[in-house]
Amino acid sequence: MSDQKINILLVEDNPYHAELTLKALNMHHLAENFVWVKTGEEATDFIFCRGEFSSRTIENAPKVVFLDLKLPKKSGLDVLKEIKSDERTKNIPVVILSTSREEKDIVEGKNLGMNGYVVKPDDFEKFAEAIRNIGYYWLVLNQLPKN
Amino acid sequence: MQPQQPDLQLLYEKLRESEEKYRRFVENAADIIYRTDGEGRFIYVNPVSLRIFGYAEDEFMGKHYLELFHPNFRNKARQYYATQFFNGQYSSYLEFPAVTKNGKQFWLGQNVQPLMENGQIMGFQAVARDITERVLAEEAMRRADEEVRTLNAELERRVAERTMQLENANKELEAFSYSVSHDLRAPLLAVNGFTQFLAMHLGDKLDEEGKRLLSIIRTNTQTMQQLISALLMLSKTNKKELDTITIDMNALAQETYDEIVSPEARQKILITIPLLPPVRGDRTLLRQVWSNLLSNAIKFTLAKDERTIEVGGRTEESKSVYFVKDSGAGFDMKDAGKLFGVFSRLHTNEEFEGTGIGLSIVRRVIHRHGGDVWAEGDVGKGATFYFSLPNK
Repeated sequence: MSDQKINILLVEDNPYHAELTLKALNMHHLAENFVWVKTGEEATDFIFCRGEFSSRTIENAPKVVFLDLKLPKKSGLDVLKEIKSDERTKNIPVVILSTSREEKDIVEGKNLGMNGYVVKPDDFEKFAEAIRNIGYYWLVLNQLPKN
Repeated sequence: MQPQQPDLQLLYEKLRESEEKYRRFVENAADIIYRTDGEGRFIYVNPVSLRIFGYAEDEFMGKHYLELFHPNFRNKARQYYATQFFNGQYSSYLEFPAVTKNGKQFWLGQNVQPLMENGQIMGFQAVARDITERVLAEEAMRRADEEVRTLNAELERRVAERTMQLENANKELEAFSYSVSHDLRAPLLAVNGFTQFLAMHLGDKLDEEGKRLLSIIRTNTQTMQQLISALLMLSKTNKKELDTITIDMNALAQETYDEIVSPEARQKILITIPLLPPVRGDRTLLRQVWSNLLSNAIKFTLAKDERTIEVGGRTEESKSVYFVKDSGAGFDMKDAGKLFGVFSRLHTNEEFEGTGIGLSIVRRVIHRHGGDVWAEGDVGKGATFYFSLPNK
Protein backbone atom coordinates (compact mmCIF):
# COMPACT_ATOMS: atom_id res chain seq x y z
CA MET A 1 0.00 0.00 0.00
CA SER A 2 1.31 3.43 -0.91
CA ASP A 3 2.21 6.02 1.67
CA GLN A 4 -0.99 7.99 1.25
CA LYS A 5 -2.37 10.16 4.06
CA ILE A 6 -4.81 8.23 6.22
CA ASN A 7 -7.41 9.75 8.48
CA ILE A 8 -9.05 6.74 10.09
CA LEU A 9 -7.74 3.22 10.54
CA LEU A 10 -10.65 0.94 11.47
CA VAL A 11 -9.67 -2.38 13.04
CA GLU A 12 -12.79 -4.54 12.95
CA ASP A 13 -13.20 -8.24 12.23
CA ASN A 14 -16.98 -8.08 11.81
CA PRO A 15 -17.59 -6.98 8.18
CA TYR A 16 -21.13 -5.85 9.01
CA HIS A 17 -19.94 -3.59 11.81
CA ALA A 18 -17.23 -2.27 9.51
CA GLU A 19 -19.85 -1.48 6.89
CA LEU A 20 -22.15 0.19 9.43
CA THR A 21 -19.21 2.29 10.66
CA LEU A 22 -18.36 3.28 7.09
CA LYS A 23 -22.02 4.11 6.39
CA ALA A 24 -22.14 6.27 9.51
CA LEU A 25 -18.91 8.06 8.51
CA ASN A 26 -20.26 8.53 4.99
CA MET A 27 -23.47 10.05 6.30
CA HIS A 28 -21.36 12.75 7.95
CA HIS A 29 -18.77 13.10 5.19
CA LEU A 30 -15.96 11.76 7.35
CA ALA A 31 -15.09 8.67 5.32
CA GLU A 32 -12.31 10.19 3.26
CA ASN A 33 -8.94 8.41 3.54
CA PHE A 34 -10.43 5.57 5.50
CA VAL A 35 -8.71 2.18 5.81
CA TRP A 36 -10.25 -0.96 7.20
CA VAL A 37 -8.22 -3.95 8.43
CA LYS A 38 -9.72 -7.11 9.88
CA THR A 39 -7.08 -8.43 12.26
CA GLY A 40 -4.77 -7.24 15.01
CA GLU A 41 -1.73 -8.37 13.00
CA GLU A 42 -2.81 -6.30 10.01
CA ALA A 43 -3.38 -3.32 12.30
CA THR A 44 0.13 -3.41 13.79
CA ASP A 45 1.63 -4.14 10.36
CA PHE A 46 -0.10 -1.00 9.14
CA ILE A 47 1.01 1.17 12.08
CA PHE A 48 4.60 -0.13 12.09
CA CYS A 49 4.84 -0.33 8.26
CA ARG A 50 5.50 -4.04 7.99
CA GLY A 51 4.44 -6.78 5.55
CA GLU A 52 2.08 -5.52 2.87
CA PHE A 53 2.34 -2.05 4.41
CA SER A 54 6.18 -1.87 4.28
CA SER A 55 6.07 0.89 1.69
CA ARG A 56 4.43 3.21 4.25
CA THR A 57 6.38 5.46 6.64
CA ILE A 58 5.74 5.34 10.37
CA GLU A 59 5.54 9.15 10.61
CA ASN A 60 2.58 9.11 8.25
CA ALA A 61 0.32 7.77 10.99
CA PRO A 62 -3.50 7.71 10.87
CA LYS A 63 -5.17 10.63 12.65
CA VAL A 64 -7.19 8.16 14.73
CA VAL A 65 -7.52 4.42 15.14
CA PHE A 66 -10.98 2.92 15.75
CA LEU A 67 -10.20 -0.35 17.46
CA ASP A 68 -12.53 -3.27 18.15
CA LEU A 69 -11.53 -5.28 21.21
CA LYS A 70 -12.52 -8.80 20.36
CA LEU A 71 -10.30 -9.74 17.48
CA PRO A 72 -9.06 -13.22 16.62
CA LYS A 73 -5.45 -14.07 17.69
CA LYS A 74 -3.94 -10.65 18.41
CA SER A 75 -6.61 -8.90 20.51
CA GLY A 76 -7.56 -5.24 20.46
CA LEU A 77 -5.82 -4.71 23.81
CA ASP A 78 -2.62 -6.29 22.39
CA VAL A 79 -2.76 -3.86 19.47
CA LEU A 80 -3.34 -0.94 21.86
CA LYS A 81 -0.40 -2.02 24.02
CA GLU A 82 1.92 -2.23 21.03
CA ILE A 83 0.95 1.20 19.72
CA LYS A 84 1.16 2.89 23.12
CA SER A 85 4.44 1.34 24.19
CA ASP A 86 6.40 2.58 21.17
CA GLU A 87 7.77 6.14 21.35
CA ARG A 88 7.14 6.62 17.63
CA THR A 89 3.46 5.70 17.76
CA LYS A 90 2.29 6.40 21.31
CA ASN A 91 0.69 9.72 20.32
CA ILE A 92 -1.64 8.13 17.77
CA PRO A 93 -5.15 8.47 19.25
CA VAL A 94 -6.79 5.08 19.74
CA VAL A 95 -10.52 4.91 20.43
CA ILE A 96 -11.95 1.57 21.41
CA LEU A 97 -15.28 0.68 19.84
CA SER A 98 -16.81 -2.21 21.71
CA THR A 99 -20.09 -4.04 21.95
CA SER A 100 -19.43 -4.60 25.65
CA ARG A 101 -19.30 -2.25 28.59
CA GLU A 102 -17.25 -4.69 30.63
CA GLU A 103 -15.54 -2.80 33.43
CA LYS A 104 -12.36 -4.86 33.14
CA ASP A 105 -11.97 -3.96 29.45
CA ILE A 106 -12.42 -0.27 30.20
CA VAL A 107 -9.95 -0.36 33.09
CA GLU A 108 -7.39 -2.32 31.10
CA GLY A 109 -7.79 -0.04 28.08
CA LYS A 110 -7.32 2.99 30.30
CA ASN A 111 -4.21 1.51 31.90
CA LEU A 112 -2.75 0.86 28.46
CA GLY A 113 -3.35 4.48 27.42
CA MET A 114 -6.45 4.37 25.23
CA ASN A 115 -7.85 7.77 24.21
CA GLY A 116 -11.49 6.81 24.42
CA TYR A 117 -13.90 3.94 24.96
CA VAL A 118 -17.20 3.94 23.13
CA VAL A 119 -19.85 1.26 23.54
CA LYS A 120 -21.45 0.77 20.14
CA PRO A 121 -25.07 1.84 20.68
CA ASP A 122 -27.68 -0.74 19.68
CA ASP A 123 -29.66 1.90 17.82
CA PHE A 124 -28.25 2.79 14.41
CA GLU A 125 -29.09 6.49 14.66
CA LYS A 126 -27.28 6.71 17.97
CA PHE A 127 -24.44 4.63 16.54
CA ALA A 128 -24.10 7.00 13.57
CA GLU A 129 -24.18 9.96 15.96
CA ALA A 130 -21.44 8.43 18.13
CA ILE A 131 -19.25 7.75 15.08
CA ARG A 132 -19.83 11.31 13.87
CA ASN A 133 -18.84 12.75 17.26
CA ILE A 134 -15.64 10.79 17.69
CA GLY A 135 -14.69 11.23 14.02
CA TYR A 136 -15.32 14.97 14.19
CA TYR A 137 -13.41 15.33 17.45
CA TRP A 138 -10.28 13.44 16.40
CA LEU A 139 -10.17 14.48 12.74
CA VAL A 140 -11.22 18.11 13.01
CA LEU A 141 -10.97 19.46 16.55
CA ASN A 142 -8.06 17.61 18.09
CA GLN A 143 -4.53 19.00 17.80
CA LEU A 144 -1.60 16.61 18.08
CA PRO A 145 2.02 17.53 18.87
CA LYS A 146 4.11 17.95 15.74
CA ASN A 147 6.55 15.17 16.75
CA MET B 1 0.29 -44.76 148.16
CA GLN B 2 0.98 -47.57 145.72
CA PRO B 3 0.58 -46.71 142.08
CA GLN B 4 -2.34 -48.56 140.60
CA GLN B 5 -1.38 -51.52 138.38
CA PRO B 6 -2.83 -51.27 134.89
CA ASP B 7 -5.45 -53.84 134.23
CA LEU B 8 -3.63 -55.77 131.48
CA GLN B 9 -6.65 -57.86 130.78
CA LEU B 10 -8.69 -54.71 130.14
CA LEU B 11 -5.99 -53.17 127.95
CA TYR B 12 -5.70 -56.37 125.95
CA GLU B 13 -9.45 -56.44 125.55
CA LYS B 14 -9.52 -52.81 124.32
CA LEU B 15 -6.66 -53.45 121.91
CA ARG B 16 -8.42 -56.49 120.50
CA GLU B 17 -11.63 -54.49 120.08
CA SER B 18 -9.77 -51.74 118.32
CA GLU B 19 -7.93 -54.20 116.07
CA GLU B 20 -11.23 -55.92 115.31
CA LYS B 21 -12.85 -52.61 114.43
CA TYR B 22 -10.10 -51.66 111.97
CA ARG B 23 -9.87 -55.16 110.49
CA ARG B 24 -13.61 -55.15 109.81
CA PHE B 25 -13.30 -51.71 108.35
CA VAL B 26 -10.51 -52.80 105.99
CA GLU B 27 -11.95 -56.18 105.14
CA ASN B 28 -15.44 -54.87 104.40
CA ALA B 29 -14.17 -51.93 102.36
CA ALA B 30 -15.33 -51.75 98.73
CA ASP B 31 -11.84 -50.63 97.64
CA ILE B 32 -8.73 -52.76 97.22
CA ILE B 33 -6.43 -52.33 100.20
CA TYR B 34 -3.02 -53.98 100.41
CA ARG B 35 0.43 -53.80 101.88
CA THR B 36 3.78 -54.87 100.50
CA ASP B 37 7.22 -55.27 101.99
CA GLY B 38 10.08 -52.94 101.08
CA GLU B 39 10.69 -54.79 97.82
CA GLY B 40 7.07 -54.48 96.76
CA ARG B 41 5.90 -58.02 97.54
CA PHE B 42 2.42 -58.46 99.00
CA ILE B 43 2.21 -59.14 102.71
CA TYR B 44 -1.48 -58.27 103.09
CA VAL B 45 -4.46 -57.95 100.73
CA ASN B 46 -8.09 -57.41 101.73
CA PRO B 47 -10.87 -59.77 100.57
CA VAL B 48 -12.02 -57.36 97.80
CA SER B 49 -8.55 -57.65 96.25
CA LEU B 50 -8.87 -61.44 96.20
CA ARG B 51 -12.30 -61.24 94.63
CA ILE B 52 -11.30 -58.69 91.97
CA PHE B 53 -7.98 -60.27 90.96
CA GLY B 54 -9.19 -63.86 91.32
CA TYR B 55 -6.16 -65.11 93.28
CA ALA B 56 -6.38 -67.21 96.47
CA GLU B 57 -4.75 -65.51 99.45
CA ASP B 58 -1.71 -67.81 99.41
CA GLU B 59 -1.22 -67.17 95.69
CA PHE B 60 -1.29 -63.44 96.31
CA MET B 61 1.21 -63.40 99.17
CA GLY B 62 4.77 -62.99 97.97
CA LYS B 63 3.71 -61.86 94.48
CA HIS B 64 5.39 -58.66 93.26
CA TYR B 65 3.04 -55.67 92.90
CA LEU B 66 4.07 -55.17 89.26
CA GLU B 67 2.53 -58.53 88.38
CA LEU B 68 -0.90 -56.89 88.77
CA PHE B 69 -0.04 -54.39 86.04
CA HIS B 70 -0.62 -55.04 82.36
CA PRO B 71 2.76 -56.18 80.93
CA ASN B 72 2.90 -53.18 78.58
CA PHE B 73 2.60 -50.81 81.50
CA ARG B 74 5.07 -52.40 83.94
CA ASN B 75 8.17 -50.46 82.91
CA LYS B 76 6.33 -47.21 83.04
CA ALA B 77 4.92 -48.01 86.50
CA ARG B 78 8.36 -49.04 87.84
CA GLN B 79 9.82 -45.74 86.68
CA TYR B 80 6.90 -43.80 88.10
CA TYR B 81 7.24 -45.29 91.61
CA ALA B 82 11.05 -45.09 91.56
CA THR B 83 10.74 -41.37 90.86
CA GLN B 84 8.12 -40.97 93.58
CA PHE B 85 10.27 -42.56 96.26
CA PHE B 86 13.47 -40.97 95.05
CA ASN B 87 11.79 -37.57 95.41
CA GLY B 88 10.47 -38.49 98.85
CA GLN B 89 6.85 -38.01 97.84
CA TYR B 90 4.62 -39.19 100.68
CA SER B 91 1.69 -40.13 98.53
CA SER B 92 1.01 -40.74 94.84
CA TYR B 93 -1.92 -41.48 92.62
CA LEU B 94 -1.60 -43.52 89.43
CA GLU B 95 -4.13 -44.89 86.99
CA PHE B 96 -3.11 -48.00 85.09
CA PRO B 97 -4.40 -51.06 83.24
CA ALA B 98 -4.41 -54.08 85.56
CA VAL B 99 -4.77 -57.82 84.78
CA THR B 100 -6.64 -60.46 86.80
CA LYS B 101 -5.49 -64.03 87.28
CA ASN B 102 -7.48 -65.22 84.28
CA GLY B 103 -6.19 -62.40 82.04
CA LYS B 104 -9.13 -60.01 82.20
CA GLN B 105 -8.04 -56.41 81.85
CA PHE B 106 -9.48 -53.49 83.78
CA TRP B 107 -8.44 -50.04 84.99
CA LEU B 108 -7.29 -49.26 88.52
CA GLY B 109 -6.77 -45.90 90.20
CA GLN B 110 -4.28 -46.43 93.00
CA ASN B 111 -3.08 -44.32 95.89
CA VAL B 112 0.27 -45.50 97.36
CA GLN B 113 2.06 -44.41 100.53
CA PRO B 114 5.46 -45.62 101.72
CA LEU B 115 5.68 -47.00 105.27
CA MET B 116 8.72 -45.44 106.94
CA GLU B 117 10.61 -46.45 110.04
CA ASN B 118 13.69 -44.55 111.17
CA GLY B 119 14.01 -43.00 107.73
CA GLN B 120 13.93 -46.41 106.03
CA ILE B 121 11.20 -47.65 103.68
CA MET B 122 9.77 -50.70 105.34
CA GLY B 123 6.97 -51.28 102.83
CA PHE B 124 4.05 -49.71 101.01
CA GLN B 125 0.35 -49.49 101.59
CA ALA B 126 -2.15 -48.81 98.89
CA VAL B 127 -5.83 -48.17 98.35
CA ALA B 128 -7.07 -48.81 94.81
CA ARG B 129 -10.41 -48.71 93.02
CA ASP B 130 -11.79 -50.13 89.79
CA ILE B 131 -12.18 -47.06 87.51
CA THR B 132 -12.85 -49.00 84.28
CA GLU B 133 -16.27 -47.42 83.80
CA ARG B 134 -14.95 -43.86 84.07
CA VAL B 135 -11.91 -44.56 81.85
CA LEU B 136 -14.11 -46.16 79.19
CA ALA B 137 -16.53 -43.22 79.34
CA GLU B 138 -13.59 -40.85 78.96
CA GLU B 139 -12.27 -42.95 76.12
CA ALA B 140 -15.70 -42.88 74.43
CA MET B 141 -15.81 -39.12 74.92
CA ARG B 142 -12.32 -38.76 73.47
CA ARG B 143 -13.29 -40.92 70.50
CA ALA B 144 -16.47 -38.88 70.03
CA ASP B 145 -14.39 -35.68 70.24
CA GLU B 146 -12.01 -37.11 67.69
CA GLU B 147 -14.93 -38.11 65.51
CA VAL B 148 -16.34 -34.59 65.74
CA ARG B 149 -12.92 -33.20 64.86
CA THR B 150 -12.65 -35.59 61.92
CA LEU B 151 -16.17 -34.68 60.81
CA ASN B 152 -15.36 -30.99 61.16
CA ALA B 153 -12.19 -31.42 59.14
CA GLU B 154 -14.17 -33.34 56.53
CA LEU B 155 -16.83 -30.63 56.54
CA GLU B 156 -14.21 -27.92 56.15
CA ARG B 157 -12.64 -29.86 53.31
CA ARG B 158 -16.01 -30.22 51.61
CA VAL B 159 -16.81 -26.55 52.14
CA ALA B 160 -13.44 -25.65 50.60
CA GLU B 161 -14.16 -28.01 47.71
CA ARG B 162 -17.64 -26.58 47.17
CA THR B 163 -16.28 -23.04 47.45
CA MET B 164 -13.79 -23.88 44.75
CA GLN B 165 -16.54 -25.39 42.59
CA LEU B 166 -18.64 -22.30 43.20
CA GLU B 167 -15.74 -20.03 42.33
CA ASN B 168 -15.22 -22.01 39.13
CA ALA B 169 -18.93 -21.79 38.35
CA ASN B 170 -18.79 -18.04 38.97
CA LYS B 171 -15.82 -17.72 36.65
CA GLU B 172 -17.73 -19.67 34.01
CA LEU B 173 -20.75 -17.44 34.54
CA GLU B 174 -18.51 -14.41 34.22
CA ALA B 175 -17.02 -15.78 30.99
CA PHE B 176 -20.55 -16.55 29.81
CA SER B 177 -21.86 -13.05 30.47
CA TYR B 178 -18.76 -11.56 28.85
CA SER B 179 -19.38 -13.73 25.83
CA VAL B 180 -23.08 -12.82 25.82
CA SER B 181 -22.31 -9.15 25.94
CA HIS B 182 -19.91 -9.42 23.00
CA ASP B 183 -21.00 -12.29 20.85
CA LEU B 184 -24.77 -11.95 21.07
CA ARG B 185 -24.86 -8.20 20.86
CA ALA B 186 -22.54 -8.02 17.84
CA PRO B 187 -24.87 -9.74 15.31
CA LEU B 188 -27.87 -7.99 16.85
CA LEU B 189 -26.20 -4.63 16.38
CA ALA B 190 -25.72 -5.50 12.70
CA VAL B 191 -29.35 -6.66 12.26
CA ASN B 192 -30.66 -3.59 14.01
CA GLY B 193 -28.26 -1.24 12.26
CA PHE B 194 -29.00 -2.48 8.74
CA THR B 195 -32.74 -2.62 9.39
CA GLN B 196 -32.70 0.97 10.57
CA PHE B 197 -30.48 2.00 7.69
CA LEU B 198 -32.91 0.30 5.33
CA ALA B 199 -35.86 2.12 6.88
CA MET B 200 -34.05 5.46 6.89
CA HIS B 201 -32.48 5.44 3.45
CA LEU B 202 -34.36 2.90 1.38
CA GLY B 203 -37.76 3.07 3.07
CA ASP B 204 -39.38 4.85 0.12
CA LYS B 205 -38.69 1.85 -2.09
CA LEU B 206 -40.77 -0.41 0.18
CA ASP B 207 -44.54 -0.76 -0.01
CA GLU B 208 -46.73 -0.73 3.10
CA GLU B 209 -46.38 -4.48 3.72
CA GLY B 210 -42.57 -4.22 3.38
CA LYS B 211 -42.51 -1.38 5.90
CA ARG B 212 -44.71 -3.38 8.28
CA LEU B 213 -42.40 -6.41 8.08
CA LEU B 214 -39.39 -4.17 8.65
CA SER B 215 -41.00 -2.73 11.74
CA ILE B 216 -41.65 -6.26 13.09
CA ILE B 217 -37.96 -7.06 12.65
CA ARG B 218 -37.01 -3.88 14.49
CA THR B 219 -39.42 -4.45 17.38
CA ASN B 220 -38.12 -7.97 17.86
CA THR B 221 -34.45 -7.04 17.72
CA GLN B 222 -35.15 -4.35 20.30
CA THR B 223 -36.85 -6.91 22.55
CA MET B 224 -33.83 -9.16 22.20
CA GLN B 225 -31.51 -6.28 23.05
CA GLN B 226 -33.52 -5.58 26.18
CA LEU B 227 -33.40 -9.26 27.14
CA ILE B 228 -29.63 -9.43 26.72
CA SER B 229 -29.14 -6.22 28.70
CA ALA B 230 -31.43 -7.48 31.47
CA LEU B 231 -29.66 -10.85 31.60
CA LEU B 232 -26.32 -9.09 31.87
CA MET B 233 -27.67 -6.91 34.64
CA LEU B 234 -28.93 -10.02 36.44
CA SER B 235 -25.51 -11.67 36.23
CA LYS B 236 -23.87 -8.44 37.43
CA THR B 237 -26.09 -8.32 40.51
CA ASN B 238 -24.62 -11.71 41.44
CA LYS B 239 -21.05 -10.84 40.63
CA LYS B 240 -20.74 -7.34 42.04
CA GLU B 241 -19.20 -7.09 45.51
CA LEU B 242 -21.48 -5.22 47.92
CA ASP B 243 -20.24 -1.71 48.55
CA THR B 244 -22.16 -1.01 51.75
CA ILE B 245 -22.88 2.57 52.82
CA THR B 246 -25.69 4.37 54.63
CA ILE B 247 -28.31 5.32 52.06
CA ASP B 248 -30.90 8.09 52.17
CA MET B 249 -33.74 6.00 50.69
CA ASN B 250 -35.89 9.10 50.07
CA ALA B 251 -33.27 10.66 47.86
CA LEU B 252 -32.61 7.36 46.09
CA ALA B 253 -36.30 6.61 45.40
CA GLN B 254 -37.00 10.18 44.27
CA GLU B 255 -33.99 10.47 41.95
CA THR B 256 -34.66 7.04 40.44
CA TYR B 257 -38.28 8.03 39.80
CA ASP B 258 -37.25 11.33 38.20
CA GLU B 259 -34.81 9.49 35.98
CA ILE B 260 -37.11 6.77 34.67
CA VAL B 261 -40.36 8.69 34.20
CA SER B 262 -40.80 10.75 31.08
CA PRO B 263 -42.15 14.31 31.57
CA GLU B 264 -45.40 13.31 29.79
CA ALA B 265 -45.94 10.31 32.06
CA ARG B 266 -45.17 12.46 35.11
CA GLN B 267 -48.20 14.63 34.30
CA LYS B 268 -50.49 11.59 34.34
CA ILE B 269 -49.34 9.93 37.58
CA LEU B 270 -49.85 10.96 41.18
CA ILE B 271 -46.95 9.70 43.26
CA THR B 272 -46.36 10.11 47.00
CA ILE B 273 -43.02 9.45 48.65
CA PRO B 274 -43.17 10.16 52.42
CA LEU B 275 -40.20 9.99 54.77
CA LEU B 276 -38.43 6.63 54.33
CA PRO B 277 -36.05 5.12 56.89
CA PRO B 278 -32.38 5.19 55.82
CA VAL B 279 -30.63 1.86 55.36
CA ARG B 280 -27.18 0.30 54.99
CA GLY B 281 -26.63 -1.24 51.56
CA ASP B 282 -25.11 -1.02 48.10
CA ARG B 283 -26.47 2.14 46.46
CA THR B 284 -25.96 1.00 42.85
CA LEU B 285 -27.77 -2.29 43.44
CA LEU B 286 -30.59 -0.78 45.53
CA ARG B 287 -31.09 1.78 42.79
CA GLN B 288 -31.85 -1.20 40.52
CA VAL B 289 -34.49 -2.30 43.02
CA TRP B 290 -36.26 1.08 43.03
CA SER B 291 -35.84 1.37 39.28
CA ASN B 292 -37.47 -2.00 38.59
CA LEU B 293 -40.29 -1.60 41.12
CA LEU B 294 -41.12 1.97 40.06
CA SER B 295 -40.95 1.14 36.31
CA ASN B 296 -43.32 -1.77 36.90
CA ALA B 297 -45.70 0.42 38.89
CA ILE B 298 -45.65 3.07 36.15
CA LYS B 299 -46.06 0.51 33.37
CA PHE B 300 -49.09 -1.15 34.95
CA THR B 301 -50.63 2.12 36.14
CA LEU B 302 -50.46 4.14 32.92
CA ALA B 303 -53.10 1.90 31.30
CA LYS B 304 -55.64 2.72 34.02
CA ASP B 305 -57.83 5.76 34.60
CA GLU B 306 -56.85 6.13 38.23
CA ARG B 307 -53.08 6.45 38.29
CA THR B 308 -51.57 6.63 41.75
CA ILE B 309 -48.32 5.22 43.08
CA GLU B 310 -47.61 5.19 46.78
CA VAL B 311 -44.13 4.59 48.12
CA GLY B 312 -43.67 3.88 51.82
CA GLY B 313 -41.38 2.52 54.47
CA ARG B 314 -41.24 1.70 58.16
CA THR B 315 -38.65 0.53 60.67
CA GLU B 316 -39.29 -2.70 62.50
CA GLU B 317 -37.22 -4.33 65.24
CA SER B 318 -34.43 -5.79 63.14
CA LYS B 319 -35.29 -4.58 59.65
CA SER B 320 -36.70 -1.78 57.56
CA VAL B 321 -39.61 -2.57 55.22
CA TYR B 322 -40.33 -0.57 52.07
CA PHE B 323 -43.11 -0.84 49.54
CA VAL B 324 -44.30 0.43 46.19
CA LYS B 325 -48.09 0.33 45.84
CA ASP B 326 -49.82 1.04 42.56
CA SER B 327 -53.37 1.31 41.29
CA GLY B 328 -52.46 -0.70 38.20
CA ALA B 329 -53.46 -4.03 36.67
CA GLY B 330 -52.70 -6.05 39.81
CA PHE B 331 -52.38 -9.83 39.84
CA ASP B 332 -54.07 -12.93 41.18
CA MET B 333 -52.54 -13.92 44.55
CA LYS B 334 -52.33 -17.54 43.35
CA ASP B 335 -49.69 -16.33 40.88
CA ALA B 336 -47.66 -14.54 43.58
CA GLY B 337 -45.07 -17.32 43.58
CA LYS B 338 -44.30 -16.81 39.89
CA LEU B 339 -43.61 -13.08 40.15
CA PHE B 340 -39.95 -13.18 41.05
CA GLY B 341 -38.74 -16.03 38.79
CA VAL B 342 -36.45 -15.39 35.80
CA PHE B 343 -38.43 -15.01 32.54
CA SER B 344 -41.60 -15.45 34.52
CA ARG B 345 -44.35 -13.16 33.21
CA LEU B 346 -48.02 -12.78 34.03
CA HIS B 347 -48.91 -10.69 30.99
CA THR B 348 -48.40 -10.97 27.25
CA ASN B 349 -46.20 -8.47 25.48
CA GLU B 350 -49.30 -7.01 23.81
CA GLU B 351 -50.74 -6.22 27.23
CA PHE B 352 -47.56 -4.97 28.88
CA GLU B 353 -44.02 -4.97 27.56
CA GLY B 354 -41.32 -6.57 29.64
CA THR B 355 -38.41 -8.98 29.80
CA GLY B 356 -39.53 -11.02 32.79
CA ILE B 357 -36.20 -10.37 34.48
CA GLY B 358 -36.79 -7.13 36.41
CA LEU B 359 -38.31 -8.68 39.52
CA SER B 360 -35.73 -11.47 39.63
CA ILE B 361 -33.07 -8.74 39.70
CA VAL B 362 -34.98 -7.17 42.63
CA ARG B 363 -35.10 -10.48 44.47
CA ARG B 364 -31.39 -11.23 43.94
CA VAL B 365 -30.31 -7.79 45.10
CA ILE B 366 -32.49 -7.96 48.22
CA HIS B 367 -31.41 -11.53 49.03
CA ARG B 368 -27.77 -10.53 48.67
CA HIS B 369 -28.43 -7.86 51.30
CA GLY B 370 -29.97 -10.48 53.60
CA GLY B 371 -33.50 -9.15 53.12
CA ASP B 372 -36.72 -10.49 51.67
CA VAL B 373 -39.25 -9.61 48.93
CA TRP B 374 -42.96 -10.32 48.64
CA ALA B 375 -46.04 -8.97 46.94
CA GLU B 376 -49.74 -8.52 47.50
CA GLY B 377 -52.31 -7.82 44.84
CA ASP B 378 -55.73 -8.32 43.35
CA VAL B 379 -56.67 -8.48 39.67
CA GLY B 380 -57.59 -5.00 38.44
CA LYS B 381 -57.05 -3.46 41.88
CA GLY B 382 -53.36 -2.78 41.89
CA ALA B 383 -50.34 -4.43 43.47
CA THR B 384 -48.01 -3.76 46.37
CA PHE B 385 -44.40 -4.93 46.23
CA TYR B 386 -42.52 -5.07 49.55
CA PHE B 387 -38.88 -5.53 50.36
CA SER B 388 -37.14 -5.67 53.70
CA LEU B 389 -33.51 -4.92 54.51
CA PRO B 390 -31.80 -5.79 57.79
CA ASN B 391 -30.93 -2.90 60.11
CA LYS B 392 -27.19 -3.10 60.60
